[in-house]
Amino acid sequence: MVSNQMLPDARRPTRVPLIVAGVLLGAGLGGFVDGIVLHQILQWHNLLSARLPPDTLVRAKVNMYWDGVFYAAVWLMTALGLRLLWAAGARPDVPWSGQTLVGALLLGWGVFNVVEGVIDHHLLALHHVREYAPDKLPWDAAFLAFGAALTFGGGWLIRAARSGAESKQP
Amino acid sequence: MRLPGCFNLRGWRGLVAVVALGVAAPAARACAVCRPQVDATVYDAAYTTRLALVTLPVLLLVAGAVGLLVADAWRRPTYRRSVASSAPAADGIEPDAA
Repeated sequence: MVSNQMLPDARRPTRVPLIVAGVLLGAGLGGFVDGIVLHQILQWHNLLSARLPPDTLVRAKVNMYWDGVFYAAVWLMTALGLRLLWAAGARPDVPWSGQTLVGALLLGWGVFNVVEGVIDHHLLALHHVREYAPDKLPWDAAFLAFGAALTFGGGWLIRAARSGAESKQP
Repeated sequence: MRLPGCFNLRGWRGLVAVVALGVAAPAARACAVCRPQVDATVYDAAYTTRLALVTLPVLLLVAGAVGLLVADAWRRPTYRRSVASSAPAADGIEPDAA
């Protein structure tokens, strides 16, 4: 049974559920940007293009399959983020802030780029940003730098939203 | 030159033709020569390893997000108290009494 003395703590505002939902949504949307723009439209790489170069129809179709698995995973992450956003919206102890949400979206996109870049491009070498460029490293580094900029920008927006909310309090 | 009626893609006949093409096209693309090679390359012995590698960044992000949510809920005293007080006390002392 919940103690009545502790109820005020339960109502203490927390932004974490909104931030987590935004981070997952931003990471999912960032994953879709990666896949749609870099895989399909620009055709700079596929998910396994460093391991299995798509130089024949069969290999291209196999890369399409693994791109599809990537999309499925990213779709699930986006759906989970949407579910958590819905749950956060129903909680009275979660302040509803557009600035916090936008910051979390940018943070999620940036964290996704950094994690995906470090793991897939550098550690596992599943693919590189520009698979068919003679020097792949500058493109991979630029991708990481873009992710880091999004991460810092998102974090700054989230922090600014918190100080803005505190300054509005009487 | 006037095309036969079946090539006229206007109206409901056109709609039926487009839908029929969409239904038939995937079967046409799955050619008898390359499809077994594609299947053999996708579903080889390294399938599980590749699946783990492809989904690793997403799994890490989801695990981190869930961890943050759990940590936030656990830090909130009411949550901790409610979990603690819902468990049967082995020594007969109520958790809130401490």
